[in-house]
Amino acid sequence: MVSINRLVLALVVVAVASAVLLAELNGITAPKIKASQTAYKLKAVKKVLPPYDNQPAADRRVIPVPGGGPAEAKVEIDEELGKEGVVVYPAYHEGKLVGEAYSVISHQGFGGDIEILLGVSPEGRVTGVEIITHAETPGLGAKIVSEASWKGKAELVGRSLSESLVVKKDGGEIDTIAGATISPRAVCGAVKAGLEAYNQVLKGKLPATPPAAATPTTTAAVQGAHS
Amino acid sequence: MKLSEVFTQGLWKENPTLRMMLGMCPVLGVSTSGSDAFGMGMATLAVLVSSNVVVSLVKDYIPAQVRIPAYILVIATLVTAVDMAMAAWFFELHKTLGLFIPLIVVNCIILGRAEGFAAKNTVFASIIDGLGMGIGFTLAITTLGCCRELLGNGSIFGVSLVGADFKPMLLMVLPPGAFLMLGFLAAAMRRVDMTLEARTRAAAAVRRKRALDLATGGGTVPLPPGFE
Repeated sequence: MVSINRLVLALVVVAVASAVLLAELNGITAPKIKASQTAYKLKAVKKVLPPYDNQPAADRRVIPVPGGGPAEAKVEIDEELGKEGVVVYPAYHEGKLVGEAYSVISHQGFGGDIEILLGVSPEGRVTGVEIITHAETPGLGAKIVSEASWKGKAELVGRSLSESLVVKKDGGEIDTIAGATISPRAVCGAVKAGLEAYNQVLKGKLPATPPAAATPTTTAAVQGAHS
Repeated sequence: MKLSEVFTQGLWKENPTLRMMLGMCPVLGVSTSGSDAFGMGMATLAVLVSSNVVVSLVKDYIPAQVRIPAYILVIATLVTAVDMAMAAWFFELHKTLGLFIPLIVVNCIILGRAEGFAAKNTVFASIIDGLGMGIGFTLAITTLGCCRELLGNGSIFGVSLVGADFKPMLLMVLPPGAFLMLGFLAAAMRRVDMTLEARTRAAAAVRRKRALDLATGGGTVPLPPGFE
C-alpha cells in the first residue's frame, strides 16, 4: 500500500507541471491568436463595406451607447482607443461616407451566440454580412458562413428595414438551409436588430467626410518613412 | 508483439472506431463532412501520440491508485495545448473545428490507449501504437465523413460531385445518418474480413488436397481403419 502522501504528491506534481506548461504556451500563442482574430475581422470589414478609398481600421470610431445600447449591437472595449461602445469601421469614397461596418450579436443561435459583422449604407441598407464567430453544427447550421452553402447571405444584401428580413419558413423572403432553420433565422434577426440599432443610435454619429482628409499626404509620408 | 503488428492492428484488426466502437462522441458529431472529419482525425492523432509518449514516460512514477486522474490531467493538458496551437497557427481550421477540439479529452480512445498500451510498454512502442491507432481513427472518421457528405450534400471535401437535380439525402448529415453510416461501414468491413477468411480457408483446403493427391499418387485417399 502506497502512503496517501505519495498519491497526493504524484497528483500535485502532474497538476503543477500541466499548469506551468499551459501558462507558458498561452504566453506564446495569445498574441498570435489576437493578431489572427483582428486580421480575420479586418478581412470581413473589407468584404461587407462598399468600395472605399480610406483605411476603415485606422479611421474606426467607438460610438458610446448609454445604458448598454440597443438590443444586440455589440458593445466592446477598444483597448487601443481606450473607449467603450460599438466599434464602427467607416468606408469613405471620394470624400463621402458610403458605409459603416459594426458587430452585432445574436443570442438565438443553435449552438450559442453568433457574432456577425454588418455593413450598412448611410440610407440604412445592408451592404454586406459576414459571420465572425459562431458555434453552429458543422455541416448544417455552420453553412451560414458562406454564400455557396447559404443563398440567404447574399439575399440580405441591399435590404433595409422596410423590406423582408425574415426567412421563408416564417413567411419571409430569405432562403434557409434544409435541416437547419434556426441558424439562418438567427442571422436574419441579428441583421434586423443591427439595422434598428443603426437607426436608433449609430446613424449620423460618424463625420460625413474622412477624418484624415486634411492630412492624407502626411499620413502617407509617415508610412513611407517607416517602411 | 512485433512493432509492425502494433502499428497495423490499429488500422484494421483493432480499428478503434469500426471495430472497438470507441470514441463515438467525436465520430458521430464531427463526421458531417470529409474535411471536418479529417481535421478532427489529425488533431486526435496528435493528442494520441503525445499522450502515449507522456504516459509511457511517467508510468513508473505514478502510483496505480491515482493513475486515471493523472492520465486524464495529462490528456486534458495536451488537448488544451493542441487547441491553443491550432488557434495560433491554423486559425481558419480552428474556426470550423474549434468547438470540437475540447471533446478530444473525453475521447476514450486516448485514455484507452494510455491505460491499455502506453502504461505497459516502452516509449517507442507507444509512439508506434499511437500512430497506428490515430491513423486508423483518421481513416475511419474521414471515410464516414466523406460517405455522409456525398449522400447528404452531394459533395466530397466541399467539392460538388453531382448535378443540380440531385436530391440530397438530408438524413445522412443529420445525427441519425451518423449511426446508419457507421453501421454500414462496420458491416462492410466485416464482410471484407469474411470474404478474405473464406478465401484463405479455400486455399488451405486446395493445398491439403494437393498434398494428399501427391502422397497417394492421385488415387482416392484410403480411409483410416474403422471408417469404411
